[in-house]
Amino acid sequence: MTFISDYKKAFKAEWLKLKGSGMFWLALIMSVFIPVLYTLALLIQNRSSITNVNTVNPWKEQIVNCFQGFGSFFFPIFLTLVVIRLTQMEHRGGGWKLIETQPVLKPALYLGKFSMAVLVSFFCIVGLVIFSLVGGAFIMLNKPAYGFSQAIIPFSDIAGLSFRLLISGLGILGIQFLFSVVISGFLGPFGIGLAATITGNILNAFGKALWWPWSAPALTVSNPDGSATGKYLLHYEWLSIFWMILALWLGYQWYQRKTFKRAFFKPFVRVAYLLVPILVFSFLFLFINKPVQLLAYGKTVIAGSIDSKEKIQTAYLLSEPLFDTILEIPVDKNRFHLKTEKNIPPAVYYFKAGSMTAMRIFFGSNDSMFINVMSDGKNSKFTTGGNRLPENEFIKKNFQNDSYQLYYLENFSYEMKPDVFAAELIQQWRSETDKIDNFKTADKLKPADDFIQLQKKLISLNFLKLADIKYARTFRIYHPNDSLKLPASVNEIRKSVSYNDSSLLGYLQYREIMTDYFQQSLKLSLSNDTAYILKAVNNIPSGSVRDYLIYNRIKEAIGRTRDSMQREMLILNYVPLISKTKIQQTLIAQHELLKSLHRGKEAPNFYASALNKDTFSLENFKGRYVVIDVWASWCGPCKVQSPNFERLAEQFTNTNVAFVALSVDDNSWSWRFEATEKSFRVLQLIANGKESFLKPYGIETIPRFILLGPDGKIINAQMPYPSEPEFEDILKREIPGLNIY
Amino acid sequence: MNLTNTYAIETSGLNYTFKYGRKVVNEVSLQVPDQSIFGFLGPNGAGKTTTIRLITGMLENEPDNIFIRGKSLKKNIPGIFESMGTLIETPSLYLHLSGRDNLRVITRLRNMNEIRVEEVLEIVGLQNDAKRKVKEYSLGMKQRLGMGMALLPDPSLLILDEPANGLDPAGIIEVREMLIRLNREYGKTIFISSHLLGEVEKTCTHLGIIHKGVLKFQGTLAELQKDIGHGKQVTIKTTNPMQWKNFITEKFPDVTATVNNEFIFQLQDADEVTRINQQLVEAGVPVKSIRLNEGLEEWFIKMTSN
Repeated sequence: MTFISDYKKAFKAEWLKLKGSGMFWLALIMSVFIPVLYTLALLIQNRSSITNVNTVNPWKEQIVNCFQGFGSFFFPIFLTLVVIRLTQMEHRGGGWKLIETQPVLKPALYLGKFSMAVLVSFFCIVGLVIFSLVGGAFIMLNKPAYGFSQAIIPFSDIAGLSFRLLISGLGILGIQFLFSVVISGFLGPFGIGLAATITGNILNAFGKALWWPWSAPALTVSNPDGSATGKYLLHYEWLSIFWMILALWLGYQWYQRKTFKRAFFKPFVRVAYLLVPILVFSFLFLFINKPVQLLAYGKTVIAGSIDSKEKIQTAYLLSEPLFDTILEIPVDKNRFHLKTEKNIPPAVYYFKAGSMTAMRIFFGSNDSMFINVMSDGKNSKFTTGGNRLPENEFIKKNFQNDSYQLYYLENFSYEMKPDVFAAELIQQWRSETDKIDNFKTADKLKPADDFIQLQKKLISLNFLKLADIKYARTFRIYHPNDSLKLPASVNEIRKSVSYNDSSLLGYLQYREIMTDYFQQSLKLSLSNDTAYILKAVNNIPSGSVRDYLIYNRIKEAIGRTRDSMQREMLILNYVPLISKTKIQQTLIAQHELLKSLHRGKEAPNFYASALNKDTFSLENFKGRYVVIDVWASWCGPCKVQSPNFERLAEQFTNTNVAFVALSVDDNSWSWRFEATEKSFRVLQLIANGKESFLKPYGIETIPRFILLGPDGKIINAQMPYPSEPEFEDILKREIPGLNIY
Repeated sequence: MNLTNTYAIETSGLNYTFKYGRKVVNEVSLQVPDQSIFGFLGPNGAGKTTTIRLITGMLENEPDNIFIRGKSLKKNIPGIFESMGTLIETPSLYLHLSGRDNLRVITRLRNMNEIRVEEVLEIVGLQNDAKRKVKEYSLGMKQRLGMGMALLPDPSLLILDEPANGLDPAGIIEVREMLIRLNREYGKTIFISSHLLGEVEKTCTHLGIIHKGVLKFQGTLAELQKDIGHGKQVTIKTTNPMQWKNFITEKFPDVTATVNNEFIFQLQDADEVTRINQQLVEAGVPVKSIRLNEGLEEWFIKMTSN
């Protein structure tokens, strides 16, 4: 009781001392700086910063960016300065002896002062939020295309992030408080804070800062969404609290007994005051830092919700590469829950619901998975949960073995002697496999062993391929008279995987690696489809890898070939060489689709919206020629072609020709941002459900240009690019009486 | 325990050794009577401030040998400060706060009514400067504010380290009168350290003298004077002393002639001065001046100068 009432007294006195201390100004200046800078940058910037295909809330982005700008450097320095100011007011005026001769318990005084540091930090974060939002409001008024006015401010996310940022600063506050109390000068504690913050930033850059208290704010802001498993705090935030407690304990002992020696060594039993807390801390540290592997659920369950205006009755789990249906998941009132006994080998699958972009997920038998889809019709966003959470996060983060070092190794290995190459190869291989071994989510969750094994095998295969094919080939060229002998160390990779690993068959990545392997080892000719296929059939054992090679070749060939007879020939002769009927069917379907897009065929209908939100379909263009530019705001090559398209639209002003730019953007804000600045001679549309447009037109890549006749029939479904004179020639040839201005 | 038998401050064999072994307080056993003004006198570096820091708990002291009103200091920190007001060395002030807010800090730490702040401002004469930041204060104003902060809780025991520091003569007199008033009218015990004998003599009822860490004397002023024979010597100067030297030394056997040819007379009591003067004048000795020797100061200087 005495402690609590004393703490209240100390708190009130400390609160009074803040008056005129400049602390609020410090908090204000620190919190206003980054939001102002970031807001100005957004205002000056000429293009949309929102290119993410998933739903991005601009308010959240604003907050997160401001927090990220603030968290890693400004915040630790600010905390250091706050603590120094709070303690300097005692050091300079002799305040310690004043407060220590008052009838107030010393720990209450110590904690009362520390509380002020926490409080001021809290004000600073509140300021940061307010100024970020004010900045957002400012952008909303000046740049409507950024979409601030359409989005809702995510207050609960902001509160969560603010809370975590404050917690992440507690460790720094505690430690700086320790130093600032025992060191009476300004420079000492400031130097420590500055050096430690810089160290933290360096450690962070190497991803090795998970324990360093000065790095905690940087880690927190780099994980703005926090725990994926619904916990309030991430492990380094817990660690920050532990650091604070340890520092407060040691700091108080030191402060109370004046010297380090007297605090912890005199009499010698006081060593316990030092060692016991450090021991407890170490234990907690190890406990909180220990990665956790989630156990398999035991039953195969896939469940979740789809938040969409679209009426969806079935969702699908599809397998690569042909989108075979693995599971049909019935959806009722936007919810689904499917328990299955089917054997599903753990692999990457696609989850597809309605017209939304399919999502890659890692899933298999005995896994439980929760999927939440949010979509407003054009933009969609997925979140996943369940025991495969770390695996899916790994996939989402798109960890691929395409580091700079690997690129270097792939492209400059000809300069290396075999032993140098092998050493380099082993080293890169280790670092890549370590990456998957050491992968942890923000929650310290580690992927399951099966996933780690699979990923490591794929990595090993890539490296093996590099040694066996690429390097072997360059060696033959440079040393035609020698035979290549790689050092035995390479066998370490060889032991971990083989080219005929049946457990990898389900992986697209495996098939891609093997395609590459066979193409290079068999010297398959890319210029001759027939020779390629025949050689593959003769040299590769029948199975999914061979099927995949042939499938890809045929698909590529029929996509490229304009001559329908030639396509027919390819399909008739080579499709039967594929062992799986399913794959055969896919190719035949593709062939049929291409046939349906021939000149004179009925053009598939589609629906699209204009900038003023009017809906258009093919019906609206009846009686006019339609020239369509299929594009998206994120597509660079499209932007190169668009001006040429617009130039033609401005040249040919016949009323019977409609020039249409049809966007397949997921993010309607980005589309709107780009489309508003385009030529008014081109009708700007965005596809309502891009799949229902792309599929029947067989569009797999953009830009794509299509010419339709006034009768609603196809004239040319695969026009050349408008940058080529042929484009204009076709228009002139096909559209009678085309005016030229 | 009967309060009348208890000292306001009592130490038994207080010791303090700095790093590197310099003993700054050596077996100091202070006994500060209740309701006294105790002057703690000593030259700079004698150990006064260290002693004060020990009896206010500012310096860690292993043995349990400091008692405030009979209660162990060690066992009663911080509750014991409830009835103590302290001013140690330079006043402890928050430079970025106003004078008034500095006082309010104390009221908050002691859970007191803030009305007291205005009373104290009046006592130390800072009403007109209460709003100004302390960093703009003069040395004297800071000293007075520091005094105010010690007085604020209306403590029954005041411990003041060199309270006259930085004050102008008028301020010194003011402080002196205030302390005497606090002692006489409100019965406060006041412990003052000083290196100025005159100051202590004019204010204190009791005094302790410390030199090189050792307590040389403690008691009332009267006891001290008795001890060292205060007021029992006169120095008499004559014109042409060489002529009268033999005459005087023969007539008054207790007289010693100094090298300056002054004559020092030992007295039995103060009235003897008149008699000696009369005898000298009657004998035709041309007396130029008669000075009563201030033995206390001489003793003090002599004691503290080596």
